[in-house]
Amino acid sequence: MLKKSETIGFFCIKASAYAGILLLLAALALIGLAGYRVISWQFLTGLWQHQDIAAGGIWPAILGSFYLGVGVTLCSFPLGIGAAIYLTEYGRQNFWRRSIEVAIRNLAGVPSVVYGLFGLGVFVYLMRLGTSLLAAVLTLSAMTLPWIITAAVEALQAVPPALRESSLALGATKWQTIKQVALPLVLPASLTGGIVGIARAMGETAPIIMVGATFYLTKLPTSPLDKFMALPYHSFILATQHSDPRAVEYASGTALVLIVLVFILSLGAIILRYYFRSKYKIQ
Amino acid sequence: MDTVIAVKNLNVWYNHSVHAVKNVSIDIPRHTVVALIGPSGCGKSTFLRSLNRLLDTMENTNIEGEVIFNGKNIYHGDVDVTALRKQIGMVFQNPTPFPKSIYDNIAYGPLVNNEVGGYWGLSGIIKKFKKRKSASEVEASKDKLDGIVRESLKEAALWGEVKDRLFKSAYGLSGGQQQRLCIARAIAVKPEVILLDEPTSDLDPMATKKIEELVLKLKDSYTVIIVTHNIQQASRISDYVAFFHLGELVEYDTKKNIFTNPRHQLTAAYVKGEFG
Ligand SMILES: Nc1ncnc2c1ncn2[C@@H]1O[C@H](COP(=O)(O)OP(=O)(O)O)[C@@H](O)[C@H]1O
Ligand SMILES: [Mg+2]
Repeated sequence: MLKKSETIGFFCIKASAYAGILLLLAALALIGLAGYRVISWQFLTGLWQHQDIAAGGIWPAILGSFYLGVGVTLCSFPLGIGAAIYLTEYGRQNFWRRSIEVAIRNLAGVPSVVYGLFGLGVFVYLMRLGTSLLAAVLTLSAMTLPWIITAAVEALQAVPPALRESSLALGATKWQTIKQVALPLVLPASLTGGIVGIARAMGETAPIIMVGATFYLTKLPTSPLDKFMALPYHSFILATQHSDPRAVEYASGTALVLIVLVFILSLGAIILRYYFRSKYKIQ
Repeated sequence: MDTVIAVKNLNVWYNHSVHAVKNVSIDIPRHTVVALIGPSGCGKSTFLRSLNRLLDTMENTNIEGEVIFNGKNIYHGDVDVTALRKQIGMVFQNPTPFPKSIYDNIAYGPLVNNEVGGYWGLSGIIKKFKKRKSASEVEASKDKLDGIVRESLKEAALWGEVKDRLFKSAYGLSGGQQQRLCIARAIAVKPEVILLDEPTSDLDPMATKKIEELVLKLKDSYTVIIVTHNIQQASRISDYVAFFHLGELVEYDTKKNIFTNPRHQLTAAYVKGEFG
């Protein structure tokens, strides 16, 4: 028998869980209802026509966001896992190491505009990459890094010490131990945390406007130094800047495509995690 | 008497404050089973981990004294620690299979020690591609690594139980099987000494019995130092017994003397089970 106060408490917890799910479903339904009608083969694969938004498609924006996602993944995962390995395995446990960890945790909460400004200053001007896909990938990678480092550090710390010691006790070096024993456990775990950061990065608008996203391109990007279109920015412009009365509907359709793209990315992460787990025989 | 490890005035401190091992001197005879007993927290694990230099992997530990292994102090500056650890194997309280197949668990030691081409040598890479062999293929194989895996598993009395699932996850084995797998993995690099830290404390009586039988057999080829909190176990499998108390080695003698005729009051009380 539950006490009365417990019953109430339990009800509140349950209610908030349902509220969360409902909110998510409501948002999806709203965007879906508002935008599903514009989804067509032409909308998904056509080049953008600025004068008549019904005549073209958002293929350049899909491709741009896809490039961003892949670029950020390729850039931030190796860097993030490398940084996490250095921090947990080779950095000495001292004041500096703790300061770095605190800094990284806080970086995950820095507003994305700040990363945009950073990217503009460092990648666009200082490194002379110009406003380009590459600059955007690097900017978003800097934004995603803290998530991946934090996830990987936690995963590394969760590796049972006796497992590492068993490896060392067989005459393995520290590096062999990390590579052969720790990483198989760390990769799938940090993938889960890291994908949240990448999904967030793919939905960003503010930073990419500063470093290379444009609303209207007459051709697809062919080099990393080209400008590019991206789904969130496209949706933003349509919803707020375009005079066509159908623009909001097209903005919703674009948002829907973005959600699906992020969903596919997460699905990819789940499949990859499953692959790692079976490859490394983790049950 | 042929001594394989001679410890001289060993002291260990944790965090510059906890004096976990106090001035311990002990000679370990070759091809015997030496049991380390004593109440928990008395420094048995710490002592054991000083013998293969696993202690120095932790920060803030201080070690003084000498551990002479085959005539050479393992704490001397020019000792190759990985080579040393290959010669002194270790198995822990909880089974610690790697996230790999049974085969790869055993192959791990020989591979990291570059005895069969290593992980990144050409032969290692080729092996990765063609290694899903059946039990009978591994049984008949002339390949060096196959041979090591097969013989190690046989020596650990595990071959019959796992030969049909060599390439399945080691996590699918029972606790007792996992522990024997860890022993097989340690054997695979042909050590001289095997350190066991309470290897059966998490196992049921049947699994414990199998490990004890295995330890008795291992004595022919290796020297075994086993920490146990189980006094009966020490009396069943050991030749010599070392009784630790509060970081000190109180008494070290043949099993017979420790159990029937101990010199110290404390030892007598402990083996009678008066405290623990
Ligand atoms: N990593 C550590 N840091 C600090 N103190 C430790 C550490 N490991 C063990 N100790 C202390 O050292 C003493 C001996 O521990 P241990 O060797 O594990 O004993 P036993 O194996 O006999 O139970 C205990 O007092 C324990 O609290
Ligand atoms: Mg212990």
